[in-house]
Amino acid sequence: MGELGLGRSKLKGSPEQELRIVLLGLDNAGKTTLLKRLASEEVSTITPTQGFNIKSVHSHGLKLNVWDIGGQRSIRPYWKKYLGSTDLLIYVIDSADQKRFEETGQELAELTEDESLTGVPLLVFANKQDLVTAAPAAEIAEGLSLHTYRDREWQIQACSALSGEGVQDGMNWISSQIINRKK
Amino acid sequence: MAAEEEDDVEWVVDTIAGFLRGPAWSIPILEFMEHNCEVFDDEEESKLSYTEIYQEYQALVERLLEDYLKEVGINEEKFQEAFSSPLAKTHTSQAILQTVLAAEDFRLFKKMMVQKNIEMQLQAIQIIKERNGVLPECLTEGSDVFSEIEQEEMKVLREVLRKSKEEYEIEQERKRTEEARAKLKAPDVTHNFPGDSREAVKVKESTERAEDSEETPKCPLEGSHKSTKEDAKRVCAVQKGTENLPQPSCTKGKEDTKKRSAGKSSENTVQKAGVKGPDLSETEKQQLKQREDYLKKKRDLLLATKKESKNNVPPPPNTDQKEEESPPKEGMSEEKQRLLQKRKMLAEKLKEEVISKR
Ligand SMILES: Nc1nc2c(ncn2[C@@H]2O[C@H](COP(=O)(O)OP(=O)(O)OP(=O)(O)O)[C@@H](O)[C@H]2O)c(=O)[nH]1
Ligand SMILES: [Mg+2]
Repeated sequence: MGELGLGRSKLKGSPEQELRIVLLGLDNAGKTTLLKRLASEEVSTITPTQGFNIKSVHSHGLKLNVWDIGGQRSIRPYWKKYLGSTDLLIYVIDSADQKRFEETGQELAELTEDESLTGVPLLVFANKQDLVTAAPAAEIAEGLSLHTYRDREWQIQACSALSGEGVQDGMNWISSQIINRKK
Repeated sequence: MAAEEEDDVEWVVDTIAGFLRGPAWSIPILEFMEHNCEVFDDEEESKLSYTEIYQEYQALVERLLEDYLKEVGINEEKFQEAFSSPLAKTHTSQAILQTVLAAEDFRLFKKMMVQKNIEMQLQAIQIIKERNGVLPECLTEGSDVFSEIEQEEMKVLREVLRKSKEEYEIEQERKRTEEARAKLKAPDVTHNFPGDSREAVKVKESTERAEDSEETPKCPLEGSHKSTKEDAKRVCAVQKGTENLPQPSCTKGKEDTKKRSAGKSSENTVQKAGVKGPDLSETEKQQLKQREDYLKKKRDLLLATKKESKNNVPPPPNTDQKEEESPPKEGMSEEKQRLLQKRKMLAEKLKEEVISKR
């Protein structure tokens, strides 16, 4: 963006602090379900995302503008167009889809190397914990080598976007990050 | 804030407002919107292609503003101060502010482009209607559709429609010259059009071209005919739009099955639509049909969105809601005539809004 500050929401002069959050992850991970859950919308009729969705979520006095971009392989090359001025990255994983752990790990690693995301806090949702075949969050964290991430804050949170369990805990972490950052 | 600083802000606001009202801003912005609005529909999900268009828009706004501010010597800080001051809202119209704010708010941008797309559709239909040489009898009914369109949106529509009035006149002129060779053509397809439940359409039974023409004076076309280059250009732009038809997205079955069935067929006095002598080619008819479907769906969606309820469902196609009418005459199928008539009234109604509010 140029000098006028367009794209940084300066012109509206809204009192609420606005943040840009990008929601990524493989197809079928549950991103759109999570987005709708956050917006307290119906989650039973969600179809695969061909483009992207945006919703504003109000949490802890913050306005979170959450961008959910489709995760199908053919769409992933477009992800990087949405990374600019991102305040926080949420990465969603289908914890029951063990076959694709490697694939999702690769995508995440690639994302974290993108310079637009340098230093941007990362929240990983280990989703679909309601399924009996779901791997525990700690196991997923290990598989993703999250502990090797040095230059950014990160957190892994077990959840079920379908039932809503664990989602609020993740949001609490997000607001604590933002508040810490402001200090 | 000191009084002189306030004066200063006011001066900056007025200067910028003047610029935003002028052609150096409005022409490139309008042109951009007209050229790019076609892919925008108001599905909740956004297409990937919107992002690229949005970025181009941001660049355009940035460039236009920066050039201007440099020219008049207003720095970035002053601009932002002025723009976010309450004065900005009282000294400029919402529609004008929107064109700037849209550069930093994707969702506002999308909404603006969806509206523009619908306007363009309406304009195209007006032109097609003019080619057919028929004007609706009256516009007093079907108003419930428009009462649902909020005032604010009407403001946005107004400017474009004012201009379209001029195009309208050009088309009228053209039509007169072609009138002689207008002939009936039987359409090869009879589509099962969904009845539009929310428009109470009353159309005088008429198969005589002469009768139709008598209705013409009711429509506000008496304005002076200015055949400037700009007008001609605008007409071209719209006609171009007519050719590049968006695919009617109603092929997505999901929409159709969900639609309400709140028909008011009993109130509708839909008689024979007075459409006669369309000099449309088969391709044009096909395009018209697509456009009708598309427009209707978009408008319904727009209205549904406005109701702002999460559990709202897009309005129904009411496929089984056929009126009992006399069999189709020679010309277009009855369904088609009715639909065309409705589309015309839609455009006409908007036009009336514009002109009466001037
Ligand atoms: N059991 C279970 N199913 C879930 C959960 N979250 C999402 N799903 C289901 O997983 C499927 C995919 O969910 P989506 O939200 O469409 O996934 P997505 O990540 O948006 O997928 P793309 O749009 O293709 O990138 C849907 O059938 C959801 O109902 C969950 O927590 N538990
Ligand atoms: Mg999705």
